[in-house]
Amino acid sequence: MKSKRELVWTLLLGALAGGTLGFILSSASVRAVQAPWFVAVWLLVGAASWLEAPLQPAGEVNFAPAIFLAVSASVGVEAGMILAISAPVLPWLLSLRRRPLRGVLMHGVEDAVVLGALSLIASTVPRVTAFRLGSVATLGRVSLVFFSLRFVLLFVRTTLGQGIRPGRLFGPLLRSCAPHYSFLVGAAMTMYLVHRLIGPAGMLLAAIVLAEVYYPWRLLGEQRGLFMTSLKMIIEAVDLKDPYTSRHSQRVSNYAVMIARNMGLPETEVEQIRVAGLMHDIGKIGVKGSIIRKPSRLSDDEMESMRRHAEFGAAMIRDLGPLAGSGRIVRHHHEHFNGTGYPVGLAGEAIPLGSRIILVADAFDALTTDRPYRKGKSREEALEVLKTNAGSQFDPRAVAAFRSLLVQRLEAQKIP
Amino acid sequence: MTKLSFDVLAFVYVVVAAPVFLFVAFSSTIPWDLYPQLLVFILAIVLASFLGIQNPAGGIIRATGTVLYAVLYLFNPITALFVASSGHIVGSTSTRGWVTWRACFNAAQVGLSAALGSLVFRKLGGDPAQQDILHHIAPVLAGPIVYQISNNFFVGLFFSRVRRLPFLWNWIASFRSVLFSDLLGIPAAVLLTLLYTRVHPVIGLGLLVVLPFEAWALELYLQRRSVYLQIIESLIRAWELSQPRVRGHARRVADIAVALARELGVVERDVESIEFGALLHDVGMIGLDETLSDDQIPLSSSWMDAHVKVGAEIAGELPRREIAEMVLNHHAPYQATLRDRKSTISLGARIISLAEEVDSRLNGIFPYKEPVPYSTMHAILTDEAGRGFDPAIVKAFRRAFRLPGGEEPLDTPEMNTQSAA
Repeated sequence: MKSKRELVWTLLLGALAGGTLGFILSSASVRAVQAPWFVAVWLLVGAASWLEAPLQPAGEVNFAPAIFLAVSASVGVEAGMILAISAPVLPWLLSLRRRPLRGVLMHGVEDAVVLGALSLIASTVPRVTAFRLGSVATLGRVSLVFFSLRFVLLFVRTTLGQGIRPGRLFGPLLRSCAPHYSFLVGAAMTMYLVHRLIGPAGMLLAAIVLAEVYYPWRLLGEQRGLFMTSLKMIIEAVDLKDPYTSRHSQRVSNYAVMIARNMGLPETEVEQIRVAGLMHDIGKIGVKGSIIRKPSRLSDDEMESMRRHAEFGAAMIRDLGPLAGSGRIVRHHHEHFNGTGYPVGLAGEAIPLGSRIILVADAFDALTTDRPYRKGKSREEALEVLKTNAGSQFDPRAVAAFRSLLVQRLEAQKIP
Repeated sequence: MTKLSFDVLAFVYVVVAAPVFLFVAFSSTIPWDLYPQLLVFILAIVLASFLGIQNPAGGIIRATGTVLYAVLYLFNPITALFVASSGHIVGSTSTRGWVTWRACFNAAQVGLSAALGSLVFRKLGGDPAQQDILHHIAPVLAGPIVYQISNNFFVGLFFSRVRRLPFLWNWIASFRSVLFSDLLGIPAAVLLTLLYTRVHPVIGLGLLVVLPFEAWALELYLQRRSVYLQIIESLIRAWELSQPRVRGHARRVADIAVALARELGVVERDVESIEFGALLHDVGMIGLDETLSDDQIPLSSSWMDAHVKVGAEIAGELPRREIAEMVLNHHAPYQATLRDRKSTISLGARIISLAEEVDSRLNGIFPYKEPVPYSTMHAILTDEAGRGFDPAIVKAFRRAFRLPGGEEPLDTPEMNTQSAA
C-alpha cells in the first residue's frame, strides 16, 4: 500500500517535471553556458545533495537547493532545473549505487517541479516574482516561495507515505524544517551576491564554504541512524535467545507506531512508543535463554525470573538520556486492561497508553509467528483473538485502531 | 612548572629573536599607509581566536587559520609576519592567559610561518590582484601548506625536546592530522581575499559571521555522539553484568583499539568505526550465553565460529559495512591474511583482534581462565607477532603503551643468532 502510493506520487511528479522542463526549454532561449563552469557547479550540486539532514518525524533536506536557486537567479531557471534533476545521481553513483535510486531521484524531481512551478508563476505574473530581476532581496522572496512550495510537497509525501494525520504532522515538520530552510535561503542569497560581485569563481568558493558550514548536520543525521540501528542490533541479539522470535522487537515497534499514528497521538509520543516497542524485551538480556526457549510450562521460580524482565528493562533504559521517556512504557507493557497483568497490576487508563499499544502489537506478532509447538495464526484469526480479549486483556481503543489499519491493508492486498 | 633545559631555552630565544630582527631590518616594506586594513586583520585574528570549533578528531580548530591564510595571500612576507604576530599575541593571551615565554614563542612562530607562507605564495607567482585566481591553484595551495608545515615544525620541535619524543615522527604525524581540516580552510581564505581585493576590505570579514553557526552544529554533533555511544555501552554492560568474569571487557577492548588506531594514524572516521566494532565485537554472544556460562564445556571451535558469525550477521544491519567485517574477523589469525593474497581481513579487525587478546590475557577473560602479568602478555605478543597478530600493530601497541623496544626491529631472535654466528 505504502510503496504503491509513493510510486504514483513519483510518476505524477516525474511527468510534471518533464512537462515543465520541456515547456521552458521550448519557450525560453537557452543561453550558452560556459561548459567548465557548468561541470564544476554540477559536481558541487551533486556533492551538496549528498549533504543531507534528516527531518523529524520523517523526510529529509539537503544543501542542493541553495546552490541551484543561486544558479537559477544568476544564469537561468533552465540551468537550475537541469541541475536539480540530474545532480543527485552523482552521490548515487559514488555510493556504488548502495543508496536507493528512487529516493535520490524523488528529491531531485520534487525540487525541479517546485522550481518549474516557480518559473511558470514568474512568466505568467512577472510582477509577483521578477525572477531574473536580480536583486538580492528578490532572490530572498523567491526562495521563500520556493521553500514554502517545497514544504507542501514534503508534507503531502510524508502524510501519504507514513500515515501520519496531517494535523499531527504540520507542527513538528515545520519546526524541524524551519532552521534548515532559513539557512538555505541565506546561503542562496549570499552565493548570488558573491556571484554578482566577483563572478562564477566567487560563487563556487562561496558554495564550498557554505557547504562546509552545513556539513555537521549530515554528521548529526548519520549519527542518529547509526544509533538507531545499533539499538536494533542489540535487540536482535536478545531476540536470538529465542530463535523463533527473530526480528520480533522490530516488528512490534513498527506495529506500535502504526497504531499510535492511527490513534492520532502527537509525534513526540509516537517516537517514545517506537523506542519502547523496540526495547520492550531488552530486560530479557538478563534472563537465561533456557527459560525463554522452554516450550513446556515454567515453574514458579522460572516464571518469576521471566516476569522480572519488564522491571529490569525499564530500570536499564531509565537513565539513558533520549531513551528515558520510554522507561515507563516498557515497565508496564505486560499490564492487562482489567488489572490482571504484571508487574504492578494497573488497570484501564492507569496503564500508560504506550504500554497498552505495545501489548496489542506484541500479542499480534506472537500470535502470527510460528512456535515450536504450534503454527502461527493467519492475520484474520489473530485479529479475532485480539477482538475477543479486548476489554479484558487489551485496550479496546488500541485494538479498534489496529483492526481498522489491518482491514485497510488486507483489502489493499486483495485488489491486485 | 618544570625548568626548561638550556637547549630548549636557546631554541625559544632564537625563534623569538628572528622575527624581531626581520621586523626591524625590513620594516620599510610594510605599507603603513594601509594601517586601517592591517588593524582590521589583527582584530579579525583576535576575534577568530575566540571562536574555537571543536574538531571531531579531538582538539580545537580555531578559525584563525582561515584569516591567517588570507593574510599571507594579501600581504608581503614582513607585513604578514607583523599582522600574524600582533594578532596572535593579543588573541592567544586573551583566550589562554598571559605566560610570557609562551605568548612570545607562539606569536613568533606563527609570524615566521606566515612570512614563509607568504614568501612561497609570491615566489610561485601568486598575486591577489590577478583577475582569475583559480588559474593559480598551485600557489594558492602551497602558501597555506607551507605555513602549516612550518607551524608544526616549531611546535613539534619544542614538544619533542620538552617531552623527549621522536621529533620527525611527531612532526609528520601532527602535520598529517591537521592537513585535511586545513585544506578545508583554503576556499574560505581565497573567498576572503577576493572579496577584499575586488569589493571592499571590510566585507570579507562578514564571513566570520557563519563560524558560530558551524561551531554550534559541531558541538551538537559531538554531544549527541557521546550520548549515543554511552547508551550502546551501557546496554553492552548490562549484558556483561549477567555474565561471569567479562565485566567491562568491551569498553576496555574499545579503549585499547582506539589507542592503537590513533597510534597507527587511522583517519578519524575509521577510528569511530573501530570503536563501534570493538564495543560490539562480542554482540553475537548475547544470544549464545548458555554455552559461555558453562565452564565445563571446553571451548570448541564451532562455538567460536558461531559467536563471530552471529555477531557479524547482526552487525550487518549497521549502515557501515566495515563494522560487520571487523566483528566477523576479530578472531582470524594474521597468518590467514598472509596466506591468502585476496584476504579481506581489514586493519580494524586486526586491531580489535590484538586488543581483545591483550584484555583477555590481562584480566583472565574467556577463553583464558587465569589473568597473566603484563610481562607475560608482552612476551606472548612478541612471540605471536607475524603469526597470530600483525607485527605492525604489535609495534604500535608497544609505542602506544610505552613498552620497551617500540622502535626496534621486530625479528630480534634472528638478529641474535646472526650476531652469535
